[in-house]
Amino acid sequence: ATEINASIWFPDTHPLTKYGYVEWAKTLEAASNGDIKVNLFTGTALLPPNAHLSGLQDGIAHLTYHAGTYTPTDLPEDNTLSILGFGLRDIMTSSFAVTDFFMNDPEMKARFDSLGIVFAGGYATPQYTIMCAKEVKSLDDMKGLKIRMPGPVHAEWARSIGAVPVSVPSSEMFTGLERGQLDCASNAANDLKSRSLWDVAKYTYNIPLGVYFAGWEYAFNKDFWGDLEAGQRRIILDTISDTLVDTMIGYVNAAEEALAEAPSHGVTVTQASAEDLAATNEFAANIVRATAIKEGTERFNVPDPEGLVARFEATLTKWEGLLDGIDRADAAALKKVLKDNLYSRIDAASYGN
Amino acid sequence: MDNVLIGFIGLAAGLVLIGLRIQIGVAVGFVSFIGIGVILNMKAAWGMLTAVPFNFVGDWNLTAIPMFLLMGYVASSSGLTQGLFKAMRIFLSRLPGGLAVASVGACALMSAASGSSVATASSMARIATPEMLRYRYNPGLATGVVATAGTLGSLIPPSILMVLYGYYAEVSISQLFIAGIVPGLLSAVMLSLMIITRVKINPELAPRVEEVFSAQEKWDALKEVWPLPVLVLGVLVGIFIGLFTPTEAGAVGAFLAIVLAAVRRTLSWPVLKDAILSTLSSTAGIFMVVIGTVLLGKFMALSGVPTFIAKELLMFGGDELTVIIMVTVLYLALGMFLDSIGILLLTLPIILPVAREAGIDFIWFGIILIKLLEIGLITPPVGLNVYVMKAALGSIVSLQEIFRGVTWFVIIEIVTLAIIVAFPLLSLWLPALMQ
Amino acid sequence: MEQRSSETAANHASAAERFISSFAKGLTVVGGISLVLMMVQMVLDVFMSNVFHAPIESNLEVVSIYYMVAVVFLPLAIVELRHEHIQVDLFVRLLPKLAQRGLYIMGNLISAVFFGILAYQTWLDAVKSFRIQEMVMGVDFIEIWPSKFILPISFAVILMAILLHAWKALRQPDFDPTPSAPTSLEEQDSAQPAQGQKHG
Ligand code: NA
Ligand code: NA
Repeated sequence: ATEINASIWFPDTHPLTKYGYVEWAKTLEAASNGDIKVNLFTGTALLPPNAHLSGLQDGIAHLTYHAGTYTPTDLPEDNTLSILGFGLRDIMTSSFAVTDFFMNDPEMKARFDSLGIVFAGGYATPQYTIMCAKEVKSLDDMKGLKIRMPGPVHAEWARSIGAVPVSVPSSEMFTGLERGQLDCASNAANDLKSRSLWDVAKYTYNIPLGVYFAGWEYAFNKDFWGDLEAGQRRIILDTISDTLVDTMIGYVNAAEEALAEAPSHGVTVTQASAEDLAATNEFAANIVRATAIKEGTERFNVPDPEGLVARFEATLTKWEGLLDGIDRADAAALKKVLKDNLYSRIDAASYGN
Repeated sequence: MDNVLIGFIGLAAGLVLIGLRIQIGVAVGFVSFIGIGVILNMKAAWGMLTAVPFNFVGDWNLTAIPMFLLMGYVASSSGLTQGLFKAMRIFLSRLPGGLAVASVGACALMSAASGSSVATASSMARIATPEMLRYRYNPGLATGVVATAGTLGSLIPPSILMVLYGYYAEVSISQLFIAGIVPGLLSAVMLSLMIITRVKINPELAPRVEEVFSAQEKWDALKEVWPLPVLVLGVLVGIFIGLFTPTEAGAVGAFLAIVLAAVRRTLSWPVLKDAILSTLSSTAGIFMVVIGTVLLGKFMALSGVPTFIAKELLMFGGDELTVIIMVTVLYLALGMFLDSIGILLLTLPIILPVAREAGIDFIWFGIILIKLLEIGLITPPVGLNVYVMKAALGSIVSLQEIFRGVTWFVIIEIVTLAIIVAFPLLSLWLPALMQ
Repeated sequence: MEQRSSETAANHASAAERFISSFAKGLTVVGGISLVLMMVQMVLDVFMSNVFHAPIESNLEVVSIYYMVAVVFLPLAIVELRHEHIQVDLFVRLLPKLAQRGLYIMGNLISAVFFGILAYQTWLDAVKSFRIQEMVMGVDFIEIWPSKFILPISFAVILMAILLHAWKALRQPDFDPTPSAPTSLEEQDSAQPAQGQKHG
């Protein structure tokens, strides 16, 4: 039997852990008839969050989740592309396209190869939104407010609406909002519930600020992957393919549930006005692509950021087409699209060698 | 070889090295390095040394530790605290062990301004213990009371441990905070009662002040009291009206202590230099231990020892009380060797499902777990708060003296725990009132 | 002849001691400056944030990645030189002096190996970090590689201090590895030794 040491630093209750790892481990064990077992480490039990790449390279874990923006220097292409997430609105298209692109694009494959890891599955988050302790019912209300922002593009957007971006660890969002150190925090809406933000942030302005997809939901240590038999790899890839869909649906549901339950915790949820939506989409359309190319060139030293972004956009378009007309809650249909057009086309015997 | 067996051998080897007087961080860190190498391979073991020290130390939340240390050192080396204890000496002189009782009160006050037990014990170690030693208190009592009352830092809000637990168990952190208030105050009262009783039986522990004080003396003493309350209140009020977070409170507190010393004209370059050097020395000492125990935590996680122990203990599982007794035994055992955050992170995935099945209230359960983790901070051989006392006091008191001193406190802490377990309302009444 | 060579050895040892001690002190000074900067910058950030609504950008990253790392690691060697690292002497104290000395030397060699391992690995990590000009992301990007060099330097100096102590224990039968620096309390209160009452 083969044992996989897997590490994801979100808690067991987080959708990326709950569906992507806890449930997947059971599915995998059953699908392999007990041949493959997963030793799951959640939180920082095995590795600190920002060591989920180095720990994977060194074989401390054989499989990890990793937030790519934690290691921008190691993952220049990933960080360049992640800027584009601000303008993406659909979690399925995003996660499927990211997975496809990261598995098949030669530049991405070369990057993972040089890092000594094998990419096996991507993810995306539900739309980032804004949760405030002060009454906020429009972008105008956010002028001068201190908003916890997850990264430089979001920070730039905050500046563009006259707000003050603040960098605070996610562990301090709650206290920051409670004590008035922060006026708002931007994150996926499930944090209202999972981090109890609804106790302290009574106003959610539900404006979509894009998906976050940097890094991976699944990547293997290359030596470990190399020791797996083709049959084992096949089972792993197939179960990941299906689990990915369940995880994305579970993640969206968690965010929607939190938004739905929020009013019963005294939270006022305001839907973004057409005007604010238009302004944000305009920012996304005009600034985000240029920022990605600029950062890719100046900061991340990607050889051809324009080409990289163009190829990624082509992949996005391809998946928009493939997913056209498919109900985003229809797990079976989504699974079929993903498997038929991506995972079943991966040659398990040669992939990642 | 079985990984669990490797884990137990590693634990034993670590204990032997500690017994041979090798510094604790090195002893458990080295054993963990080798243990990880045996379980995985040497490349992974080397990799862990990349993953842990830098990433662990470079953490915003932990900056509270040197800052609260600095606050305490400035306060004590500039004599900011002397006035308070002078007054305590006068007003609590009739109370057996008055200064120790006053220390409990001061720790409780400090806990309301600090998120971590280690930070609380660090600052109070320099404020309260030297004063007690000056009045010829038994060194075990003088150190034990602060090491123990320092653990209130995690029970009285704010609390880093509660934030972690709330995050994992998906319960409201603010409710956890509120739930901790009554058990925290109860712990303080129990500690005080124990001190008074013990000193009554054996007055040598804390010599009584026999002098008679005039009204003028009392009034003069009162006038010297203000610096410490102003410091703690300044920090508290700042946190509660939202000027700064509990993490930043340490820096503000250190700054405020310097300002207060300047106002009282007791600030000088030697005083400041002494405070800075002591802070650096204590911080480096504490973090060497923390890094070692964090590495040990990773080694233990890989070996499966915590899971093994949990399974063995929870085999008897079932009803509420059995689960709590098993968890108590588990946490007291792990608390002997591991740091509190490590224990919490390693065991929650195992024990939360068990607790859920037994129908235990997660807020109440969280308070119980934190109380258990607090007890682990003062039990030998790895008792972080005891090491903090030792690091803060240098050669004045030996480690075994402090451990001997905390024995009584461990017993009373377990009694307090039993009360918290027996009366869930103590934890749940305030949060329920809120809703 | 024999006496002369041991004198020379003693001279070498004291030269090494002076070198290590001044190196350790230098690092401690940098650590102290970092500690003060940490406090000042955090207070300034609180002030700017509350009064001008303009917190210091990247305050979090600079404080935790630079100041914190410097404050924790740079003073390691001075703590060793002052024999203040946290250890348990419950059992060793019961042994005869000669055995204590032997164990002390052996313990120092074990510690030296561990710090050597730490210094080597963190050095490799720092060099890699420098090579890729490693950054972290906040609301802006911050270069972190200079901070990574703090670790191997600190570990190397504590390694030297530990070896020095082992050497001294080997050469000087009366070498006493207990905290040497008088604490401020003892200085202030030397007339009333604090450990007056040990029993009870
Ligand atoms: Na507290
Ligand atoms: Na302990």
